[in-house]
Amino acid sequence: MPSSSAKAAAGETTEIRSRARLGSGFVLPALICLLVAVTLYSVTIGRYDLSVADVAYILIDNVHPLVTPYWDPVQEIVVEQVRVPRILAAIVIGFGLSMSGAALQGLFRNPLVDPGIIGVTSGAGFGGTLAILLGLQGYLLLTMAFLFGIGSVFLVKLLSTVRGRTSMLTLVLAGVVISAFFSAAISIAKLLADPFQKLPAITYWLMGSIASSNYLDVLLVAAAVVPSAIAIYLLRFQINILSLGEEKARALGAKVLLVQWIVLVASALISAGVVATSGIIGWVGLVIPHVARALVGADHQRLLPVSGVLGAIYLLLVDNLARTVTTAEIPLGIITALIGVPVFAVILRRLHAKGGWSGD
Amino acid sequence: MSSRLGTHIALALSLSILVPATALAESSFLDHRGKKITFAKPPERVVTVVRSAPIVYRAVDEKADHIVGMNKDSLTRYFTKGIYAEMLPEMAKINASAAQDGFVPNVEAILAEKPDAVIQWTHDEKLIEPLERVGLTVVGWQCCSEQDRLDYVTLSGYMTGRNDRAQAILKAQSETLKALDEKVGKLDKSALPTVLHIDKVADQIQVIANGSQDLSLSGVTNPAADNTGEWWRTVDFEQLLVWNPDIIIIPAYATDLDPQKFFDNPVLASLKAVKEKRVYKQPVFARTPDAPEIFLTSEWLAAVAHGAAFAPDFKKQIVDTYKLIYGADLSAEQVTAILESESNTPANQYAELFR
Repeated sequence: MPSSSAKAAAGETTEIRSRARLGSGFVLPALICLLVAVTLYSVTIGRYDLSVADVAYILIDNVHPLVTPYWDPVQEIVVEQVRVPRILAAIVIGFGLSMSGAALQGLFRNPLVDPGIIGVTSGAGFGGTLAILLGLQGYLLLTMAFLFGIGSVFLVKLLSTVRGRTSMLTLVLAGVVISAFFSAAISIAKLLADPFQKLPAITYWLMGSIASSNYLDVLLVAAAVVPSAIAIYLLRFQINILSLGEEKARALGAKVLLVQWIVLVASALISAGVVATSGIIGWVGLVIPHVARALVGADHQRLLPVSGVLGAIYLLLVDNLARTVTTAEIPLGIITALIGVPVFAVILRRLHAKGGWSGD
Repeated sequence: MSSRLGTHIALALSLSILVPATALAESSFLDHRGKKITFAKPPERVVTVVRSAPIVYRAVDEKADHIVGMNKDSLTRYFTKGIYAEMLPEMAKINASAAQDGFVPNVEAILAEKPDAVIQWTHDEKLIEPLERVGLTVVGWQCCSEQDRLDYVTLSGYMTGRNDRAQAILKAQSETLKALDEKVGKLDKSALPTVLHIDKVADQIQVIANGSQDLSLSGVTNPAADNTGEWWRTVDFEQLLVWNPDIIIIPAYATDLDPQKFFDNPVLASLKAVKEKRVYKQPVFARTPDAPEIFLTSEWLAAVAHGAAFAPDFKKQIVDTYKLIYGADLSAEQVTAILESESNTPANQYAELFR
């Protein structure tokens, strides 16, 4: 927990550095309302023809039957076993990726950072790829992806620790090295994969999809995301201080190394959980925090939850596109990249025009 | 498309025009690139990079002696286990270093075999150019229409000098399909059953949208058909429900999937095909779509969709076909294994269909 002096300093700093944004306090409640609306809308759309009233009665019937069930059991399966778990997965994943992206960007004072910075995404990606190559499916695949993701963090830690000390620069470089290593390993696995069966499966999985999500998947990804997001949010004041720079943070009494490691491990857990259940979904953790920062400023007390909710809305909308635009499923990673690249280009131009990123 | 048609016409013409040359032992023909290939005598050392080419070439040549190299995937996929390994054990002894799982040739390994001819795919010039650059004679096969498959047998006939064998195999195929066509022609075209080929239902649901099998030969339609796109399409469960096929076929290559997995899946239980237990695993003869016996698949599917009358005495036909093509004398157990009877036990009336 932050010390009272650090907390006060962080609040003061934030007040100095934050822009005056009219009504920024209403942003989070407004976004939560929007998330609820988008969620309800998402349940009513899909390839299978269901009216809004059908969906409403099917859902309400679980709580309090309003009408005698007139719907086909298949319709109930579509709503409750197909759409709802998928929607929940999109919310949890979007929330987790965006929140960890916002925390890491603050921590490293770098707008180009996303949850993949510490090699965990590539590590988990290789774990999943290896599982497909070995013919493993379902929860064996998930377990391997998660273990490799977490394993990559330990490798990064091992590489970046010299004589018991770890610098952030070395850590980021170690992350780049491990990322490159696992990317090469993925390429080797793809080279060895059966080009007619396993290679398409690997390629599709790596591009990210939540098409087959069930409640257990949601539970598993939530088990990784929720505690990690809570840990990150509890450190919001410390992250504010660290975003001023390590020297200043130390001068203000912040436990720099401890905060950095907690945020890194929490982000690694989120990324490993997400990749294990859904493959690699890029750009969410990179772009959404910038949009959130434009809405509420750089104070992580507001930025973190706003990033999370905005990420949940964004990924939900992206998944709606993925499952409704064509008869075929479009991998989420493709859509997030198609949207993320131009948005990020605009952000970079604005940053350049401002003379660089200052964290606010 | 026009160049493809042109190639087929040229190939057909070459059959009639160039056969006299074959009679004199010299063989001259056009491959799928339209390139004229001439052999003074049938090549004695052939390397195949096309995965199914060893099967086709062995079938037409009636022996494996002239095949000196193939790709690793041919070996592991067909000749280390399964019916081909049982029928043609000599194939497993052939050097398998011509290429790995894909079709990029290992030029030095191929050169070491001193081949008189190499069979390679035509879809990418880079697959052929390195071979021709070092002076090898390459016979190009293009992928993968029904006509292309017939041509593989014809081209193998030209190469081996065994046009008689090639024509006998093609005749067996055309006669079977002609008889099937007469029966299918009597079906009501507006009420043909819908068939989905599904090869994955776990982490991804994957259907065949643009496969090479002509389903109209069997009197069925594919609701996922899209001739403009990729072979496979990944869909979600809702889309499966929208299509709600009458029959689901599990391709023979999907080795870890069987009908029981569909019947045990509570979400898939809402599908019509699952409710009516009309989920079937394809027989082994559909394992490679390029094999000369692939025409049996059309007959099998017609029987599954419309009844045993569409494939009368099918077990005997399997035995006769394998005897003609591979010279094999199949046992009753092998025929049962070829039909995937064990996997298909829970499927609707499978045992009755193929007594």
